[in-house]
Amino acid sequence: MSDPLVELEQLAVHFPVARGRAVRAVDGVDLVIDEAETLGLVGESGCGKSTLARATTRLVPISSGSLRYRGQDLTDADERRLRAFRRHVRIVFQDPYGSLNPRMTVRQIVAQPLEIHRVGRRSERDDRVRELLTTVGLDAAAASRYPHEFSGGQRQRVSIARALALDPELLVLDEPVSALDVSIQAQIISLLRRLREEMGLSYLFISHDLAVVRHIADRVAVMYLGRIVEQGARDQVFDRPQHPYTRALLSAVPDPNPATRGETRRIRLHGEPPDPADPPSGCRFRTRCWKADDLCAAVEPELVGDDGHVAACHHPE
Amino acid sequence: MGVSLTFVVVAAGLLAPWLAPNDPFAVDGPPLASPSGRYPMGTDALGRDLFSGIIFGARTAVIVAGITGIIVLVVGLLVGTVSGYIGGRVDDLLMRITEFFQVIPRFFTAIIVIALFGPGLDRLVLVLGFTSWSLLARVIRSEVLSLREREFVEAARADGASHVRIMTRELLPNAIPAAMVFVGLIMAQVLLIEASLGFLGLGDPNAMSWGFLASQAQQFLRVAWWMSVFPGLAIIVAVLGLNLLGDAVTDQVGGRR
Amino acid sequence: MSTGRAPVLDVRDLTIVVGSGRGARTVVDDVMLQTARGETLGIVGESGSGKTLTMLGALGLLPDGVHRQRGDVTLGGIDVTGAKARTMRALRGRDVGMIFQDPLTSLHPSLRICSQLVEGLRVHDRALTRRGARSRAAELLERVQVPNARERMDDYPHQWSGGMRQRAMIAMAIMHEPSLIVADEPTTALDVTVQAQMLELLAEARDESGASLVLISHDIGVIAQIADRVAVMYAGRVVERGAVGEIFARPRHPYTAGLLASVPTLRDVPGELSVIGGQPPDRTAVTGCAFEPRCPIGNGELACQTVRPVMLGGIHEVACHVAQVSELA
Repeated sequence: MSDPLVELEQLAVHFPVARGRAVRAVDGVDLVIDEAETLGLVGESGCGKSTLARATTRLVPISSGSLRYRGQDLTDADERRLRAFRRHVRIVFQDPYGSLNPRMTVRQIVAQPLEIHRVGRRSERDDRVRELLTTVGLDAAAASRYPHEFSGGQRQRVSIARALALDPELLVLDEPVSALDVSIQAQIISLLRRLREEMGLSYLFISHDLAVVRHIADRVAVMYLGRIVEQGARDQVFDRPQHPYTRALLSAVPDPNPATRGETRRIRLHGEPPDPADPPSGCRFRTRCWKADDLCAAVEPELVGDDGHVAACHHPE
Repeated sequence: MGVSLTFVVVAAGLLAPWLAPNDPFAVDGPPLASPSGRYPMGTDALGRDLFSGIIFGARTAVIVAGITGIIVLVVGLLVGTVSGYIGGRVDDLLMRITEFFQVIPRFFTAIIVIALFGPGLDRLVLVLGFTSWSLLARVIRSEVLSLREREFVEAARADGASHVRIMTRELLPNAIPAAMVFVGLIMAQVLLIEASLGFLGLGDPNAMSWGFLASQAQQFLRVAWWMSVFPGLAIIVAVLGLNLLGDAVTDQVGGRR
Repeated sequence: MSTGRAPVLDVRDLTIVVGSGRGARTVVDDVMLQTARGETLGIVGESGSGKTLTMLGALGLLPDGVHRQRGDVTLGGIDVTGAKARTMRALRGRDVGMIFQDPLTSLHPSLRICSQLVEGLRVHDRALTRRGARSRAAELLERVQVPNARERMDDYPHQWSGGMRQRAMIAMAIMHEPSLIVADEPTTALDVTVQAQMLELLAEARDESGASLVLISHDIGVIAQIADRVAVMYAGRVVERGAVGEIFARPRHPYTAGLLASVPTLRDVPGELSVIGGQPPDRTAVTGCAFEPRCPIGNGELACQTVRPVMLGGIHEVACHVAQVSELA
């Protein structure tokens, strides 16, 4: 069997804070992303999903565990060794306003990865920029303009064009549509679906919005307080959730259709996620879980299950 | 406004030999002549043309403020960017050095240097340049500190950009606009110091200076108002122009954010 | 759309313009809104649709450079369009409670939470003692379910989580028993699990006080969850209006229909999302319908390009030529 595209093993990212404590933003995560596959990663703010995105692209140092790209261990690799990795694994950020340098033209922004990796001559790069802009549904004339002249959705297209410039294999998409209007969200999602088909891309699609993830992911992982609590094929997770947190998340998604509203029993979670610098003992979700008992406080549950559908819960559904 | 004021001063300075009707040091006409067609700003006690003096004074002002400004920009940007971007020990070290330069009294140092090595524009410019960059370095550093966390910098790192590239392409272009106000401010201060030194008779004897002209006017305040008014006006125009210019540049380029 | 009672807030022909002279653009155009006691009106629209400006305009809170060109607004029967700034302030403080998207920007960062509540309470009730106000503040925080309210009320805003800060905002909004609560994207910055708690709390606050709630949101799911009636805004105009169940089940305006179809839900077939092409404009159309360039049905129709659609229909109103024609046929 060939190596998966990207493989995270017991990956952890800890940020030191005051008085010797550390925020355990990501705390032992196993994930595998195969070729031409979209893995959706769902979680609420502060669960560590953005840090995981940055660790997967080696933008933050990895505290422990490992990151492998096509079998090659890149956990501690220096920038020189990361060169090929940086070409093939690209990231798109959430904020369409903050992620583009306001003093560069769209051409400079999209051409930057080409320049850095010394791809083509200047005129060839300009051609490539025009081609990329057309691919993402922008006018080629956009190249000479500045980011502030574009709307949020158009800027996100520029970010995607930049990410595509080096013919990547994997795009890490960190909440790529969360800052966008509803009608624009749908446009970007369908653009991503089209690009995936045309180029055989893999995605790590990160979002807090379960409904969005359901529309693009082949497999889904649910993250809570630095850990994966459930993982499986899309329909397994959405139709037969095992972890109480997944169930609660699913039931909290508002349903705009008045005809079907009220069919799902709503589960009200009380409180908010605990401080990641001081997670609860045992199961991290137990402080908000209606099923929690002494076992949950004492023993941290392992991810178990069959048929690729796993959940970390002592009392799964 | 700032642009036009500064432009007038810079043009006067650059074109001094062609603009000025006379050699500013040459005794040319009657002493203490009031402004007239021949002497637009009058003459001093020795009959030297004040208008020519003002124009050549602008040349000195432009040289001093300009070269100091360049030294300040180069050192300030370099120290500020490196310090803010790299952080850690490098930052600590650079900031201690910056603080050292910040507490040096500029005027006093300039006087000491002149006392030790004699008056001269070259050493004045060097002294002022190297004692004035600290403010700019701190401003740039704090800008860079906040810019460093922005997503577009992270995106550049993901592109595989080197540290030098990130500093020059991502950070500096975004940090400079906010810093321009301070460059204008620093240049205006330098101008005032130069004028003050001239006033105290510590200026370069071979370079005409507004401060020198103003000091000459002291004894004749009552009989020859023009001798004090015109150098004073020149200083005000230049200082105001530089301040406004800094503001204008910041507003202009800042608008693109 | 009469509810049989006098409306708490009655907005008629509200038109709001940004800038002046040649550069002026109309961002809110002839908007009509009424809301009655105990009822929740949802205003749904994308950014730039004018939904927030409509409410700011109605409450006399427009930022500099934006002004009301015409229109009448009454609040509790009082005409507020001609009211002096002082009268407006008193009216807003007492009769209107406001909740914004980001509680961190609406709370004073260097004042303790309880001081902010105490200040607010005493501004409108001079007789209240500091001690009395403090215990009122604690009650309010308990009412909005802030855990350990009495211990934590002396914290600064940054020590509280986003959800708790939003609870504090709700407490401040309801402390004078207002007749109108305006919540502008109150849950957008919050996580889904916290969002559900907050919506429930808002509905409770409305029911307990009998106030009218105006909920502004881009999120159709949020609106569907607690609104009774909804007004859909596009490019500064209300394009469709009526009961929530009716509008979301049988949208008549192509924009509403497109919007509903483009929202991913947990029920639709994965991957089948319909897409409205193009970008929403940043101003209203001078002639015709502002949605015409993006409209799957009306695009290119002469009437849609040239004639401004007006709101027609009884309890389910729509401003659209094609919807109106198709119903006549």
